[in-house]
Amino acid sequence: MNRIPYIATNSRIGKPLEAYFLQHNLRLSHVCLSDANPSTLKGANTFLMVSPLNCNNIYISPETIWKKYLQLNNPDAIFLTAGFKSVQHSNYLDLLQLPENLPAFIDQAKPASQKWEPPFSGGLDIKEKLRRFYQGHGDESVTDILYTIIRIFSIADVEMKRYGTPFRELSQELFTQNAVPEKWRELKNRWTNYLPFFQCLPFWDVFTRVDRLFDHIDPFFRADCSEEMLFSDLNCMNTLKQIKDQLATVCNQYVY
Amino acid sequence: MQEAQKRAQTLNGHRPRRIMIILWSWKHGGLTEAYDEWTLNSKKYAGDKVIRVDASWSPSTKALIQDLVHQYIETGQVYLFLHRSHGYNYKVVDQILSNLRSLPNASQQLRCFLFGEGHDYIYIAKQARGLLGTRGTFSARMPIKNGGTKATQLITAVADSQKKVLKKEHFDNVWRFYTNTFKAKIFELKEDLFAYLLALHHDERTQQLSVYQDMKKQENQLLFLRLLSFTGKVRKGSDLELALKKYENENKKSYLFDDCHVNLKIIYGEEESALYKQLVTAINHDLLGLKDQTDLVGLRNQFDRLLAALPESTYY
Repeated sequence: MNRIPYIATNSRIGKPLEAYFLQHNLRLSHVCLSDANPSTLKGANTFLMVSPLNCNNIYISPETIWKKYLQLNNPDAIFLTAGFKSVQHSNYLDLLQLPENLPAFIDQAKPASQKWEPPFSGGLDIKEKLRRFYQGHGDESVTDILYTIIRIFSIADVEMKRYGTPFRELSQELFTQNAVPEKWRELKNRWTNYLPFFQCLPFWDVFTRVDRLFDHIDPFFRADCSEEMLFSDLNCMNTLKQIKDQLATVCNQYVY
Repeated sequence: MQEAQKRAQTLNGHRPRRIMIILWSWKHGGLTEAYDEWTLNSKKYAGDKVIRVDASWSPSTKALIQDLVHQYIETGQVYLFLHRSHGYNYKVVDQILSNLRSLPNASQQLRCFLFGEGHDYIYIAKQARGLLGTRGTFSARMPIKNGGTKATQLITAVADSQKKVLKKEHFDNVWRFYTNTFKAKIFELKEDLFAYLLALHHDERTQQLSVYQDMKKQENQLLFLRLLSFTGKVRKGSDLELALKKYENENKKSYLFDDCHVNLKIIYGEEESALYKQLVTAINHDLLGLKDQTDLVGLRNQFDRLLAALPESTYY
């Protein structure tokens, strides 16, 4: 009997849900949120998510993003969501009014490749949170302030490589005068605020990689951008570009 | 309902000002008058303010609070934050809101929150974009990640202390959270309650017990206490309140519904208030009584109707 992987963050739900599936000769297999990655979900014909997910101490609704993820990575899979919302939908299981014939319900559910939207489960709309992260204005966007810092670093890079401008001069005229250490602190604050919400996303590994890159170059900014040795040893320019590139992979596919 | 929301968002065609009146230990932080005003570092939001008041609950404080609310609600939304350790509790909230409910737009423009003991969202210690720091200030020194070494960083909500100006992002963050907090708490209670009820109805060992009997088990205590608090059964200073506060401290999360309960009953619109009372009656009858069978779908629908009636979103 093939197992159907499922994610549920409320441990109380697992047992009755598994029993219900078993009544219909279908076996569920619980996947921890942290293990829900391309390798564990690869090849799954059906994938079930009980939404909203309890993440960062609140309830988050990531179903739209997961549907898109499966559409891109496992388009033939049937993506089912389940919850306590009173909704009728081809791919949604109302846990208080479960279908009598589950196999028939699954047969009629649509694959991820087709154009449909999962019903919103009522928690934090993580799609909107992602949009603000990438496209928000003022104090909400992370990429806005990141790109400002990268622009200043690009100028520094050209100055050093093309014109041989000494680092000390750049530190004063570019980094200090443009308040780069303060901008970095603000960027880190925003990043730290957003990061825990993204644990429920299928591309969480991208954000953990970016977090490590943030940590990697942090000492340079902590030293008020004044240590040439740190600038070169930590490869700051290149690391900032890596952060930008990593974040862009998510933005290009999931923020629309 | 959407119309009411629109009205709340537009007063005389302008964006309503956002005013937080915070009663806390400000004297430690230099407050010498009855109250003072702090603005934001944004010209666009020039009318938004934090009003500092440091006064324990008394008839004269009641008059001051009412005067301040009267003064500021004319042009904006007012969030009133009352520090529990200054003697404020749900009974005080009840008195204050009952006296203010007749103000025009009060149901859309006024909310009242209780806070205390450092674990509420308004504190910087709870999250870096809070407002309240240590010893009556807007700043706190917080531990940060710095390789393997222990380090701290001063987090401040102050943009200019001489001019009494706060950082807009801290103000925004706290405002947004409290805009949604009652609805978020009810939504979370609903999700946790139905997960519990689903498991309960499935478990043959517990099917002989009423929900009330089963909920009193130790492993269900937190949910039981939240449900009691939601239905207004947790008295100030009672063992139930102490037990719930212990969970709040352990989990760094606010569970008490005391302020939510009073706001819903008194200051929200008639529809929301009626739906809340109906839901409380249903919970009392179906879950907290000795009833054997519970209409889960009916109860869920009552939760959903209340949640749909609350004009705010669940989270920001």
